[in-house]
Amino acid sequence: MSNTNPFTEAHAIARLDFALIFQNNLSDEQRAQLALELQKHLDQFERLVENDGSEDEEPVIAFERKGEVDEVTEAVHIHGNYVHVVWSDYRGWAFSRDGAINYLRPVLRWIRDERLVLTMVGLAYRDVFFNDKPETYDTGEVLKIGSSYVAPKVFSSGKKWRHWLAWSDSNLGGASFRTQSTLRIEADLLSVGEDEATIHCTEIAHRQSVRWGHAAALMNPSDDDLRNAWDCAHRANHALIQELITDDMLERIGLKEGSDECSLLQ
Amino acid sequence: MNARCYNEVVDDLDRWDTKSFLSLRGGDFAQGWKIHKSADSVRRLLKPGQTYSKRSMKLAQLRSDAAALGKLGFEETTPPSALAMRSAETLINGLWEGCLDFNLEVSHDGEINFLFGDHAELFHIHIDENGILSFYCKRAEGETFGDDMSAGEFPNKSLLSFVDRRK
Repeated sequence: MSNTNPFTEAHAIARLDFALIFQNNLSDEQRAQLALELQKHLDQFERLVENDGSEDEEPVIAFERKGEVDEVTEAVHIHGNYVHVVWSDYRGWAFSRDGAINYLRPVLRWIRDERLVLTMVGLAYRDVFFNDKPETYDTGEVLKIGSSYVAPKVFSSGKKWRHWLAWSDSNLGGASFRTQSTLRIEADLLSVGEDEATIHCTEIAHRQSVRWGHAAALMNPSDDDLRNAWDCAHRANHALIQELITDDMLERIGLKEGSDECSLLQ
Repeated sequence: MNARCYNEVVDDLDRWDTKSFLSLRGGDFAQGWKIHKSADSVRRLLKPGQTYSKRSMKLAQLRSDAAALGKLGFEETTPPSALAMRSAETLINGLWEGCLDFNLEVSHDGEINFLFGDHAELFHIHIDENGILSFYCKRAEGETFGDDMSAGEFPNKSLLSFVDRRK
């Protein structure tokens, strides 16, 4: 029996991130006004004190929604030239996508009123697998041997390694979209808990930026335009994960035929 | 600098470095995105929230119960259909926080049942082989029910009201 487990009993997803990325940075005035509108719209969220942009960090305005026991389930951040929604409590693709569109409603109004120029949308998955007996860790328990996305060397690189790959694709969604992707995989040992126990963590981060092939959607993106773009990126992530992850793990995270996660892909 | 604010910024590991996007044509793409990491934020990633864990446990139970039924191979047993499984997953994903304590039962004919409460006061959600949902609620003051709906149409407010009254 493998000691490697996905992030939860049903999913490997630790974070799912939906971003709207603009042509230019928001002015201070725009940021303040947009923050006010988001604050009013996100009535279940708490607005956090904002960073002043020092220590080489860009300024950020953050809103967080908390679950039953003071844990963050969703966050909305305003950055220099983008706003994004990050889910820490993954609730299926359609629910998360439509929830993100709803949370971003004030930002979409600004885009449709031509107060902001959208250049692309982003979708990022961060999948995590743990092994609490790191001496037993085997890369082959998470990653499929022979996948074209992973250098064969990682399977003989021990417990600590980092893998990075980038590519672009202009044939997704019937050539309606152009995407740029990065895949970062890190295997590492971490100390956790009060007793500083060592566990092994494999983290897979797949980030995609999606541009429309036609300008009209950028100027006035409908909810369906956004759904189509994010669905396209979701399908690409699904295809990647199918090729990347072992069959055993795919089964454990519900990515076999017939699951709700697969229904959009058929 | 405000300490809480600092932590929040560092915790935003998911930030997009759009400067790399914008200079893509200049060949900077290979440098990739910035990766921010701190001990605090990594630790935070290492544990799913309680709500997420609870919801995932129910999903995992649904999948394993359905698979177990499929493996029995008896003539009179039928595992849940793909439509029923999709509906059940959609329902679990859509349940409001605070409504995740229930008994999940997959019957021998592949129907899926969600049971809240007890015999005296109960809220029963049923999903048939076509993925169609119905519910029945019995309380001291009377009964309510609904049928022929998709999982996305389930009235979460009624269930939360039932759950809250029993606390």
